[in-house]
Amino acid sequence: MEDRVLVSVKNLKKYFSRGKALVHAVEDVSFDIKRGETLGLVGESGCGKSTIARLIIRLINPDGGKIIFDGVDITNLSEKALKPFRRRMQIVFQDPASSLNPQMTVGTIIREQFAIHNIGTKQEQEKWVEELLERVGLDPSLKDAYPHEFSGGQQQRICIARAIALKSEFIVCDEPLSALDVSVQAQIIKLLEELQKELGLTYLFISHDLAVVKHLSDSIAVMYLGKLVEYAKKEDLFDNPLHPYTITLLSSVPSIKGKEEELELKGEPPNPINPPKGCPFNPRCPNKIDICEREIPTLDEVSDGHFVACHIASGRR
Amino acid sequence: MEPLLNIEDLRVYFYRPEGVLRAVDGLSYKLYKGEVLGIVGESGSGKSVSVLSILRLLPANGRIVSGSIIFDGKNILELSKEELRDLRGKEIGIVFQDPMSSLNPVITVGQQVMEPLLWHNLCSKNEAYERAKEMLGLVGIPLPEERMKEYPFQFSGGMRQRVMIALALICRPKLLIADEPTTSLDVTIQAQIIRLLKSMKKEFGMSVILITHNLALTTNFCDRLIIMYAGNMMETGKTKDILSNPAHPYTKSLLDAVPDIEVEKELVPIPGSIPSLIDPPSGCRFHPRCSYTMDICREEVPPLFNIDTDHYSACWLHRRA
Repeated sequence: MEDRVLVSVKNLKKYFSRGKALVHAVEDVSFDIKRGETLGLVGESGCGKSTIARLIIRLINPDGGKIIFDGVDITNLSEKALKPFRRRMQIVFQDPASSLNPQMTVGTIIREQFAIHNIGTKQEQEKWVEELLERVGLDPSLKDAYPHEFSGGQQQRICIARAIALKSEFIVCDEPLSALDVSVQAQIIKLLEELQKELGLTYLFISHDLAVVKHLSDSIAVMYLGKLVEYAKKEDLFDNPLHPYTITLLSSVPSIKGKEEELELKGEPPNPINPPKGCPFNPRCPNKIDICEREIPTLDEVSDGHFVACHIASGRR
Repeated sequence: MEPLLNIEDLRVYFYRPEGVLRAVDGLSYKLYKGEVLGIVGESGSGKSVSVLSILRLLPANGRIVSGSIIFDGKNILELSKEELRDLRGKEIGIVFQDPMSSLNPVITVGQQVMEPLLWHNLCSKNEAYERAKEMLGLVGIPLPEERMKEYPFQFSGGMRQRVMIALALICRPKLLIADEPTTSLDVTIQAQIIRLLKSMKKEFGMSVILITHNLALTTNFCDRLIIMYAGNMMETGKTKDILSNPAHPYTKSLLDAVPDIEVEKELVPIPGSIPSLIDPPSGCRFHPRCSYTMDICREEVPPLFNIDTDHYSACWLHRRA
């Protein structure tokens, strides 16, 4: 099984200083992503999910822990040593308009990938650009157009074309649908699904939209205040959520079926500068007991591949 | 029964350098006392513009070119500036999407919630203070008396939206308009705000218009829905009828295209993208993206066809031969 893991993070930590205070953005997060699968990372704003996106492809450097890519520890590799790995990992951001250079044509933006890594002749690059545009559902003759001439959905297609240009294996999708209209979101979901099947891609899919995450993911990791609180295969997480935060989170998502009984999560996430003692969720938790205020629960495996960080839920096994 | 709000053939155009943008093009609906109406649509569908017209809050380049808006017996389009001010905040309250930019950053929250009462001369300053305190407690702000002294930046997003709701309801309006009130909030906070709106509706009995792009959000709250697309009403009916038995191809495709946490399904994307309203498609505005397009769809704007009791759909498919 181990060899199927493409990306793995172990005890990842990241702090940001804000004046004299320290923001605990990511605190001791560990998970694996298997080759060809999608890990959905969910949580509310400020929980640290986008920081993980940036850490995992080394756009920013961690303050602790390890990032293992295809068996190699890339945590402390120099820029030069990292370059061959950069080819293999890509990211698609939330707002396509601001991740495409407005002064470059779409063709140039995609071709840049080949130029940076010195791949192919000019003619070959030109041909690949056309093939890529066609693959993501755009007219290849539009390669000389500028990003502003495209709609939001088309711009996101261009970002995806750029991300698959170097035949990368691993793509981080950081809220790739949030800036798009609902009728266009499904087009991008479909495209991501097709590309995964065709190219064997591995995704880290970050989103606040649980319905989309449920649709796309094989496994799901739930974050709260910089920590992983639950991590399981999709079916296990949705059919048998164990952490009280996961349970209320799932119950908060509206459905066209209506909800029989909504659980209300009282209060709001605490400040990551001054996280509560013990379990980060304890001030809002309906099941809190003494130990929750004193000890931070560890992420324990309670059944095959189902991990939860809760004093009560993990004792239930 | 006399409706509280009666909108007929409303047309709102924006005059842009590139041309005339027809944001709302012939919208008619009624809202009854105590009713909760959901207006659902994507960006550019005209859902926000249609309610901003009710308050006559359109930007300078926007104009109501035809139609009528009767609210509680008054023709809003004929009111003077003074009469409009009497209406806004007192008879109609509104909650916008982004509470941070709707609250004044340099005035305390307490003063802002008291302001509508004082502005409309509804009570003394002392009484306004008491009523603001009570209302902030009612919308779920802990320690209201202390928090009244604070400024908006000292509140979280969800708490700010609660302040906005207190502000909109402080004069006990007959109509509350909530324009994407939860779009900038996290999902657990969204659930709190919708729950709050529901309990406020129960407490005060006002009519509510909820504007949203999220069809699922309407299920447990709205009595009736209007589905809008590109400035036109596509379908209207009771919420449960539309969700269980959608008639218009746009509503159907929307339900097929949006993932739902309780429904396992193959997603069917809607091809293409939302059209420009400066040069909208001829006939039915959805026809270029519709899988049932017939010749007549390109030529003539479909009227609303009756599907069932209180259920109407603007699609030529329903025309009986």
